[in-house]
Amino acid sequence: MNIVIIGATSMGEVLAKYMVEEGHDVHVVDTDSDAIAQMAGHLDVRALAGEIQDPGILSEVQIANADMILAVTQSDANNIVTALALHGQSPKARYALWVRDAQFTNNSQLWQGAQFEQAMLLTPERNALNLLVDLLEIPLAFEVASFLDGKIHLAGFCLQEGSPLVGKKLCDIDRNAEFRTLVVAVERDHEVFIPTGEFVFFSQDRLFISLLEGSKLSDSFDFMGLEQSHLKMRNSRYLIGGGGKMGFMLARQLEEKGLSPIVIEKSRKQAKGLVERLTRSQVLHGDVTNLNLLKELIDGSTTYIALSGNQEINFMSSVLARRLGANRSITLFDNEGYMAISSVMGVDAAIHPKFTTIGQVMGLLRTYPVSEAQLLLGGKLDALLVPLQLGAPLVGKQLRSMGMPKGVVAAAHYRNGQLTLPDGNTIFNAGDQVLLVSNRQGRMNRQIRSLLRVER
Amino acid sequence: MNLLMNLRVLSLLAILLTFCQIAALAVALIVGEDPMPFIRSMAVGGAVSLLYFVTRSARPELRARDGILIVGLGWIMATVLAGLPFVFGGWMGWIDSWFETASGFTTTGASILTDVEILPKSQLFWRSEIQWLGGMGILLLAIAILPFLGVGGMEILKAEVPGPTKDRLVPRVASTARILWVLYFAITVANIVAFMGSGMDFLEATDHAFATMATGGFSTRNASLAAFSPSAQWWCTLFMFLAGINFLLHYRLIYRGDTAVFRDTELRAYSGIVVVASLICGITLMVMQDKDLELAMRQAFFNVVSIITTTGFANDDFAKWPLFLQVILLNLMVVGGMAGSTAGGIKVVRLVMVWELFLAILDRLIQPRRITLPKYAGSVIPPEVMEGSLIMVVVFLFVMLLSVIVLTAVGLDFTTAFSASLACIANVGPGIAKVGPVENYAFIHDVGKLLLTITMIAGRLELFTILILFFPRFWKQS
Repeated sequence: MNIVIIGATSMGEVLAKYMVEEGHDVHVVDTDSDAIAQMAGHLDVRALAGEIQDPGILSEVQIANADMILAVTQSDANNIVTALALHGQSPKARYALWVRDAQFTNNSQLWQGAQFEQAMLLTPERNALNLLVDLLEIPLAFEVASFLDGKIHLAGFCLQEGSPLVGKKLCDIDRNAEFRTLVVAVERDHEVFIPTGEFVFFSQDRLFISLLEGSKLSDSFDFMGLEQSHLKMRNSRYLIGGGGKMGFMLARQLEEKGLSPIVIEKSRKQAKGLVERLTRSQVLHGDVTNLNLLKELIDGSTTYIALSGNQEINFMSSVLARRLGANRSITLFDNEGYMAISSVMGVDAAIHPKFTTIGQVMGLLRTYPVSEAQLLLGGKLDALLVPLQLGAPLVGKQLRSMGMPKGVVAAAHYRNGQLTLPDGNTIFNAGDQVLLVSNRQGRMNRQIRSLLRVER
Repeated sequence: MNLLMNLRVLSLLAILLTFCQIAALAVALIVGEDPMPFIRSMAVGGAVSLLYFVTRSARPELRARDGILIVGLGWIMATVLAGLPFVFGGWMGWIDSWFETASGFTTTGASILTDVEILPKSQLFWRSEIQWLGGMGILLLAIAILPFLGVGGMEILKAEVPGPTKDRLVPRVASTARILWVLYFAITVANIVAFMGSGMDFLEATDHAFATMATGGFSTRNASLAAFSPSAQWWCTLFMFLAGINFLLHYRLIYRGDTAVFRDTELRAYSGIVVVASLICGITLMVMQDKDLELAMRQAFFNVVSIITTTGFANDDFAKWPLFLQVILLNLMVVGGMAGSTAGGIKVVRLVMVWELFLAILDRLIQPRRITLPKYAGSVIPPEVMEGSLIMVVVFLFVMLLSVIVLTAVGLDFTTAFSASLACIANVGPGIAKVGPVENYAFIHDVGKLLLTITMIAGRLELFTILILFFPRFWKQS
């Protein structure tokens, strides 16, 4: 597809990288010629320096042929105006706008006109906040994705030495279990597998299971041999490092759940502001890298969440918190290069807000309908919630006789408000929604399309 | 430096070259000539290709340094491998074949053959095909049909495609390369048809179209284009002129119907130089040598276009022209065609930029408080592009003079040494005096031939890609 990205920002770069990987034709436009030169140097995109409203640039990027236009400059207003202005030129294109200000994103009235019908808002901070809450609700998980407003979660856990799963084949475990837990993917040595019956678990495997609304988390914890005591949120103390926008919003969410988090904020003025707006939380004025302060606050039941604006401080304070005995530390970061090191450094979970938007955008680029899409494991695992249409090969047959392509698994099944875990006997109907998880290798995209394609 | 991946790309290049010889082999079989030189050469190419299987574990990332190394070594390897049929056929020695093949790939067109017509048709076909492959760039072809290089492809493209700034026509490097080759192929087919329409047989039309579109200049006749009809010569002039134009402009005009290309600054400068120089030559030939209008203009336009696009075809021995016309032609060699074309030389755009800088400095001398920035086509020339253009001019002259010193040391007279050096570094082919349009390079000492071979390759890759290989800092791990 032809994609135009306006803004050679870190956001634009993250998106461009994944689009190129999937074989799309990408133009990037920005006024900053250095950023453009950078981009052209290491991505297979055509990067042009100039203003998008310049007629020369518009014809260079062939705006009328664009299938998707992403406005991801540093300024909300700029992104919105760009989308409005380009709408006349290419009314059929899909639009995605990076909008940060909550005033814009929370007010759905603003996004009603025809010019925004095809528009998607990219709100990395809000996605990150939702993810954080999910992560706190699913203890020990290192990564979570949620679908259908939280009705389905995919959650990743690390298998410990001594887990009942270690050394067993997947098919043996399934047969013996009283309740079912569906393992949809396993990461081992940076490689991602969609396990078949013959798959044998090792300790330190990182496995993803699918969790449905209403099912008990404790069953899944038993299945994986994880400590049950972590399950009660009340047993934990929540320590939030950094009282900026994210820190404030998380504290408020936790307050709504009846919890009383502690927030550490470096600026006295901002700390005062937090106290004014929060009710149950404690706000401390201090530095999250101050050893004495952390020592005082952290014990074995502490969950530390690093949300300051400085990602290096986030990482360092998370590692420090872990060293001081916190049972879990979660950090927010912005540099894609850090994605691989978070687990090495001993941080339990790391959230990259911009990365959360990639899945959303990639979902729009599929040639089949997709209701929700997320990328996991730094892009190595693809999860798509797809509506099934009459006539699609996946419809009307027992899953067992279907012969799913290798590397794809049906992780959840949604029909008329009912959620189930698919098994060999499941038959999908038209109108159902299915969560498909795949390991995003080779021609997976084509394989999935062949499952969903409706012949006309 | 990712040496394993570099080797892998080189082995792919060997595979590609081996496949390209199938066409020449087919010609040999159809015409009924000895196919063995090609079969043996393909066997050697096949052996080198085996490297591909050894380097399977290579990481695909390529950086700027890798791009330079691949293109530099790739061209040296290609010129050696593609010369094997000449050696195995017994027509040339090793040094001569390297010179001849390099002259082909770099689209120079300088030959060490005193009599081309004794060569079998298949050998002549291969000699022309080499030019055609080198014209648009053999590595660009690899990028076009083996689209696995991704961003690494950009590094290769930067090192192989001539011009001060590199833009892709379309987002992906592989698609850009494919479009360029498709265009090149299509215009070549048109050229073949035009030549056949003016009386050449299919094989000769193809041979000459290959050499024309590549701005190469190898002919299958000793008399070059003078052996063919005036209409063939006019067609040849037109297609050489087209080949000297930036293919980006061809793309815009043909694919997008963008007529703004006719207002392109470089195109106007290029056409202007061609028309003015041709008229001077034509009128002089009419006045001083009593040629009639059509003949004078045909010879003038043909030779001017042939020289400025660095093709090197001849339809008249311009060594017999008045000396000042010969000097004009020598100057045109320095100019070369447009950036992004198949022509060699310094390129019109660089000279336009240097001229703009000159004017800016003049303005500053007249009014010291005036802020002057050299502009090209309405926008300020970025300092690094300006620098690049200036240094290219300087290094071009420097390398040429160095080559003159060596050639005079091995016994050439000054005029011959000077024009041979210029004709090789600018990828033209014929010079004046003993290397004039009806002469050849056979008599030059082997040392001189080796030097000129390196000079030709350096000239085709715009000097830096080859020169950098001689500097230790390139090889140091940083």
